[in-house]
Amino acid sequence: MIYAALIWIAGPIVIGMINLVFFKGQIRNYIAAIASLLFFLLAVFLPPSTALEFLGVSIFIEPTFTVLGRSFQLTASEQIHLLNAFGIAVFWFLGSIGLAKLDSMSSIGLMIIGILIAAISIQPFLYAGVFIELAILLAIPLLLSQDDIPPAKILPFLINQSLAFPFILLAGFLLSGINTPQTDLKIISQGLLMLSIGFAFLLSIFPLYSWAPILSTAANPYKLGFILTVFPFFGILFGLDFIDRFTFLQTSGQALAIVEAIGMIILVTASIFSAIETRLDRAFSYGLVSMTGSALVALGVSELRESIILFTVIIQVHVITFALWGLGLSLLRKNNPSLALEDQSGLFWRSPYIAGAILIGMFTIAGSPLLALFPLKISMWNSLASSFPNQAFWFAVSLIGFWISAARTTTVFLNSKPKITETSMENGWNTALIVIGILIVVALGLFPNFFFRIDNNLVSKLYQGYY
Amino acid sequence: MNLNLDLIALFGIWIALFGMLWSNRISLILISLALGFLFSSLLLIEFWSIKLTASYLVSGWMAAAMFGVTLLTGGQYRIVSRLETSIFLLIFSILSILLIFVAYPLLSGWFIAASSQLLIGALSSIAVGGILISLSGDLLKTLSGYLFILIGFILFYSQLENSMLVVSLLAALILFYALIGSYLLIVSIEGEP
Repeated sequence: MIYAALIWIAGPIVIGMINLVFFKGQIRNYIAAIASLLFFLLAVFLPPSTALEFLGVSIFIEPTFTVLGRSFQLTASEQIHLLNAFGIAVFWFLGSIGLAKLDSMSSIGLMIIGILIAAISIQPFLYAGVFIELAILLAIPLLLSQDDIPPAKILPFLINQSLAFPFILLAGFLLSGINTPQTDLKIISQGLLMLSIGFAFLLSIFPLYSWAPILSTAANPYKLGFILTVFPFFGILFGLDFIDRFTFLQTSGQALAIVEAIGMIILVTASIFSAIETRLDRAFSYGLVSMTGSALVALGVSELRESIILFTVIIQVHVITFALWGLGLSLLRKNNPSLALEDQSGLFWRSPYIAGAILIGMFTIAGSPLLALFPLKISMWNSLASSFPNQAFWFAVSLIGFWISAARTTTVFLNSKPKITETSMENGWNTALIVIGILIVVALGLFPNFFFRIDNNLVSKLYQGYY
Repeated sequence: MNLNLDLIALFGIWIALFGMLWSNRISLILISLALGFLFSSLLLIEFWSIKLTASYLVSGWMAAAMFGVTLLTGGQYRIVSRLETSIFLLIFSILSILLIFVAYPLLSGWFIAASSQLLIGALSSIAVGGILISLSGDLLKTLSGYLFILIGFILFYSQLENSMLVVSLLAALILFYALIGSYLLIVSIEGEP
């Protein structure tokens, strides 16, 4: 008998630690990427609660691991979360190979993934806040290692995210007995109030995402991309866990309508800020923030089950896009610390692949036709138009903002050839990764029926018995 | 629990908070942080066993000690203090006092088992922690501000949960936070011209 928690929680944490302590340089990225791929494949072929016989030895993946009276439960229904989490990790860690100063990101990132899986699997779930806070604290060395970030720029991130912890912890306790018939309405309102404040901080809901553009001007874009895709993803999963647990939240149409409205506010504000932004790194941070907005909007557009499938697919596409965009920005920053748009005139002629990665990323987030997010945005827009017509207008506004940002960047990148000749920042491996990324994003946009039908069916199958 | 001890604890917390808000000396800030943990633990005894309270207190003191050792060995660290910040601190401190007395009756209805001293102590810690985080502009005070918010929440939390696991996790978290805070302090000192 093997415990699922030991494989997918302790495994990444221990490998991450060993990787960080005993290895140096690029080898760390290879180890982290291979380990993530291994955990991903294990989740595919040996999901929790599976029994199989191998070389005469019977193996059972025990879903519950009990320690000090509390348990970590990774049941068969959590397989989708494991696949997503390690899929995201594989993508980010593979991209970090070949990038300088990113080797500790993969080791610490692997530990963060393990801790966040612990957060969504611990029972009673009210302890999850502690694990989320641990992961947030670990993100500080991840961002700071091998990079000079002034503490004043990283502190807003630490404080804003950390403030979520006490509220979620308290909400967990107040709501723990909520499904019993004697529950006082007053306790429910207290719990929901605490929960809302906690999630506002955790998911960086407008205006609490102000730390993202501040941090983006100092942090490595690739690291920031990892942090800003992993934390909101697990934050929303944690929120869905609350919805799954409390029947009244599932049946109440208002709860999901509020989630959808909050998502729209994030999406629209991020898009407007992006439209007037003149720095590439800050525009990237608004793009990252918009992922949370899109995911929350997706959760509210139709019935919970279909919404969750849409949310999962949206996160997957965003991760691919941000890995590509972040890779481009990271390579650009290596030789050129200033990411002000005015300093990047004619970039397309100097480093076409880097410019291509950034532009494809920006246009994908803007929901441009022929790119990966287009079919999903259209589907969301259709659903919004039928259920919330006003919101459909604001959704269009959010697309226009990102379009303006992408169009302006294109004109600057395509400016006439610069007179000075600079050495290209691209190398073989990075170029290959960029080309693969662009091909994936374009293929998803060109053949949505083929790819998204397979993905939808797969995700839908994995969510069976859930929600 | 003796009422007098609760009152002493509340006044102790207020002294610590006052020191934290108005002091510009590193030693006084660290002493205020240590006092905050000491007096809040006196309030916690009402709901937690001595063992649990002691582990909470030790973790808090270790956090203050970590900051202290970092600042002592790291080199020159100057507390950022500006006049306009002081004016806002004064305004927000007065507003917080008003807010505490407005929020107290509501919270006493929510947390029936808690004494008034515990509730006021918790609210004061959260309010001052919030002010420090948002207004101080100094790294050490901002880091300590979050710890004061945590103290306030732990005071609320104490009546809901008193298991060894939760307290040990909270203690571990305080220590880990102090470790990360010390790391940031070192980065800040090294960045000084």
